[in-house]
Amino acid sequence: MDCQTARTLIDTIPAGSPEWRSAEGMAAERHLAVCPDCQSVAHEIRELDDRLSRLMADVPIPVGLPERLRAIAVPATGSANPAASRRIGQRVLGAVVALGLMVTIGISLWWFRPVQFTVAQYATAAADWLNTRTGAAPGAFDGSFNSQLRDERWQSVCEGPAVGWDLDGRPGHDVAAYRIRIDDLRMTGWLLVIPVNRVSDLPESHTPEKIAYTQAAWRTENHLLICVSDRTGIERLIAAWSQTAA
Amino acid sequence: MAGPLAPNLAELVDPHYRAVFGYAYRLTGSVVESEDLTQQTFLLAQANLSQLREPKAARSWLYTIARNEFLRRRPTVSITTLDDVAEPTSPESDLGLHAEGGLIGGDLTSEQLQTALRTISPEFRVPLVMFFLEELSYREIADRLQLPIGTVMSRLSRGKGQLRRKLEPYLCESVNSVVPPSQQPLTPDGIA
Repeated sequence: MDCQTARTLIDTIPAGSPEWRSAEGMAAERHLAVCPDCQSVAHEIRELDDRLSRLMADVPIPVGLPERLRAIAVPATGSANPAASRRIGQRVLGAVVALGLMVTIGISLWWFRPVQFTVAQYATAAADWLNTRTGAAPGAFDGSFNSQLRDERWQSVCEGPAVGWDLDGRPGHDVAAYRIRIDDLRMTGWLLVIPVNRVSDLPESHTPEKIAYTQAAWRTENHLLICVSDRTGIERLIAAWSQTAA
Repeated sequence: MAGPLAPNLAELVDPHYRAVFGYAYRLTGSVVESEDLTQQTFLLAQANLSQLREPKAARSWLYTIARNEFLRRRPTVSITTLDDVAEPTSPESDLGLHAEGGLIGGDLTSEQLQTALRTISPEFRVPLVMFFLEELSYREIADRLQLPIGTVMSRLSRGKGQLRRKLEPYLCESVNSVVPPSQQPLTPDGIA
């Protein structure tokens, strides 16, 4: 290391700095050990630096400064740490928002939960409509659930597209109804198709069982089926089709 | 997020206000400006107290706030004298070691030091204050000012040289016979 470099390092690294233990600092120290001129300069620089450091820190303090500073350290909000207060506020706000979100989701789930009716309610509603043609007028089934019948025999007796109606007052049809005609049983009527998750007392039987004078009900994997005869023929239907599922 | 040991601002004022005011005074050169800068420093500290993770580093943190605020307030166009930018002609002149018999004697006062510091442009004065009051090396200063190491080394070395030359009248008796007229330092009244 040359004298210029060594003196620059001496001038720009404080005497007690850990940087004197770096490779650069140790190289400068080795130079100083063998260069009397630089030793003299280093001695002078360090003596003066030490003196200037002490002198630079020696500043008279204006009267009343500490009192004025303590005054600004007492915030008007009464909090010693506005940032901490702000963080607490943010957390409270976050908790309120989260709670509100949970309540909203809960109400939504409750509101949109599937409303269930009993088999008798479905049968009564169907009979009312079929007998009186009152209540909610059925239109074309809106496809709000899959009403497709798996049994080809039932598919073959359905006439035309399904109609649908609503029971719970919410969007979407709850029942799909197919007009049926079974010539060999001399029977006409309706076949009601209802999703199983909308039935509170789903029957266990997978074959038609009589539930009223002109009605039989049974279940499949996905549906409750209610057959409503226009006049008679339910017993013939049960007798003929009791061995097969829809 | 403040650690559990983070102090409140009132706890920072008493142990550090002298140091912060002194730092501000050496940067600004004015009692009024330095008091204003000190108050602003503590206000900013209060607003950002959560950033102080280690209470032992409070003084360095306050110095940083004061320095940044000083640099923020400073006009972007600064006055730089020819003395600030003059290239040194020899290692000795670069270091400001002109006087025969050295610069260690004499009777230098705090106000004379301030008079000399005031004549040095902020580009050189800030590293000087950081070196003497924070005891930082050129590498550490470069890191904190986010400047190239070579720039800071040059500014620090030349700033110290300027400071020594300006202080020669107070440090030794033979300055007028050693320093060229063009480089003669200011008198205590601040007039060359």
